Amino acid sequence: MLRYTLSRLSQAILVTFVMSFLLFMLIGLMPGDPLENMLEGNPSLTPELMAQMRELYGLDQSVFARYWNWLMAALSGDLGYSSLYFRPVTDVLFPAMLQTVKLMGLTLLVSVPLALLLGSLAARKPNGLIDSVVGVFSFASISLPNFWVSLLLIILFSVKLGWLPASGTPLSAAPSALEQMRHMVLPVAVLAMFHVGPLVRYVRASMIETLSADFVRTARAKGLGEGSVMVRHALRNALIPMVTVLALSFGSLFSGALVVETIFGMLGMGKMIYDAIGNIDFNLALVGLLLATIVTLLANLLADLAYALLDPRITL
Amino acid sequence: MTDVTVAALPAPRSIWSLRFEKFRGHRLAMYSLVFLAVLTAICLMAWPLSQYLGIDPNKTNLLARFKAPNAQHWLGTDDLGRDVLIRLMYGGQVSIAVGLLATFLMTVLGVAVGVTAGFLGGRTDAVLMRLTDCMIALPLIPLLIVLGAVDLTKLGLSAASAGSPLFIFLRIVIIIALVDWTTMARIARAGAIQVRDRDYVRAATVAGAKRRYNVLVHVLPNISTPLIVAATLTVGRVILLESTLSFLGFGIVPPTPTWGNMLTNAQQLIISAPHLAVYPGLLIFATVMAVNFVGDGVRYAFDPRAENEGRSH
Repeated sequence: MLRYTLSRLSQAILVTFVMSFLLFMLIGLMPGDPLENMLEGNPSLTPELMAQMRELYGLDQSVFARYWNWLMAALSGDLGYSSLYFRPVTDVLFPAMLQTVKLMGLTLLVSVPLALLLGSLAARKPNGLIDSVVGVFSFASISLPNFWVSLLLIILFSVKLGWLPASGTPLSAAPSALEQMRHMVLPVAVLAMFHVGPLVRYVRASMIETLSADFVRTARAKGLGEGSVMVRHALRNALIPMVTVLALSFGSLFSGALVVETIFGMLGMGKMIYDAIGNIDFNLALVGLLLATIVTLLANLLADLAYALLDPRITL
Repeated sequence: MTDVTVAALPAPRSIWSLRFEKFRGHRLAMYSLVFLAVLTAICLMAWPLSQYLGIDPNKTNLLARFKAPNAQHWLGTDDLGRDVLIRLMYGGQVSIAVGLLATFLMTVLGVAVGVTAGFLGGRTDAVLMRLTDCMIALPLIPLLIVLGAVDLTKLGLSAASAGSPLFIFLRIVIIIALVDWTTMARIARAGAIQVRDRDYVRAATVAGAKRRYNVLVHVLPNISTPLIVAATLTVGRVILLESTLSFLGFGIVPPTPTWGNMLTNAQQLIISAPHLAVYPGLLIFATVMAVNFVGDGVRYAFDPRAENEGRSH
């Protein structure tokens, strides 16, 4: 187990460095360069001065040298300055991370229980009425454009009915917890709806398989109630592979969060990355993307390890 | 001697005609296919119809904003006075073309990676599959946004060609294929591994066949079935990705209309003109849903274990 963990961990670290270099190159291919954008429209800037500044910031060096400088600075905790917010990247990053953690956490709290419930109900009678309804729902969930659903929900609940706010973050300086929750309803609903579709299909398939297993028949034969059979015997076994599925869905959940945050104007990681790229903020875009990548890789690593820990049949 | 009557055997038929018959039995898939065919045909009518009605879909007319449907503008006009119907039709052409082209490209890419990994095995396999695992986990939309923001002139393209509609179109096709080939690669690899150690491949190798021969003659035909199924289901996802990207402003940019970028402005207009937010989204939804149903039908038709109900043997 320890050997496996260490080898996977070292692989993940290697991948992180490779990804950081690839992202560094990609970000460097965005229009303009950091100086041009910073000093745009400054008439007192002579070409000589510009060249001096380039040298000062090391922009005249090769991409490898620049990457090395950036990497050394980043490893010592200096992530640079955001040209969009005029603040150190770390200052922008942490509030945004908190917001996204809140959004994704609430989404998981809704989508996972819902997927378990719908998937189990559908699996009880394959091709029955509930199964068909759930099937149509999950099919719609993977076919609907999430940004369009967001727009429709805003039109319906914010504009026409006026029940819920159209923005994800309250405007007042010190909003109450209830006020914050009210603003989160629509974003979480949209995100959960799209997260739940593939999960339901998975839970259903896994439950159908488990329900035909011998131990479920034994449980029924010894006279256990349907609820006990479903929850304590079948669902618990179907849950283990769920860990992997959930971890693999992390990337698409984050993609969804980016779209939802952008539409509902929530200052989370997704919107931060979107704004940073839209406004050519090199430092912020790079760090935001890299962080999203690292967290995703970490989630997968943890899922692999958790899978091995949870399932006693697997020894490493 | 008693006469023995032999029931006439059904004429032998090719697997494709059997599959097609089975596909036809999948009602929803068949309806969806017809829907997609009609939709494509209508979208291809964009140019003739705009000529007939005398409309330039990209020409703005601020005196004719938010017009209600009338004899010239069948679905009315948008916030810049452009005809909604013609723009929807052109947008459909773009969506469908991106969906098909990107899927084709990522199939080629995925098959190249997957077959190489599966057929060569060993360290090549390990490295390529680790790469695929990483790609599967990555958040696609942020990655696509960066790729969409890349300044092609920095890659040595002239500014004029980088900004031309054709290049913007090709670029979106390429970047979607670049980030989403992983499913194809995994399927191709699994198939290649299955075929690799079969006796007929060994026999061919012993008889002096090169790797390329084995891949072309033995591996590719054997993995084509799962690939066709996966490719059909991919088209829907690609259309969704393209529309999301265009909606966010990093895909296909105006004046070229797409269903995605027609919704970009809709958010600002949800109070004054909410109907403008309805048509493009509805079309994306209907198209993707239909494509997914067709995919479901293809999977059903190609799966020998999924038999038509009521047919006994």
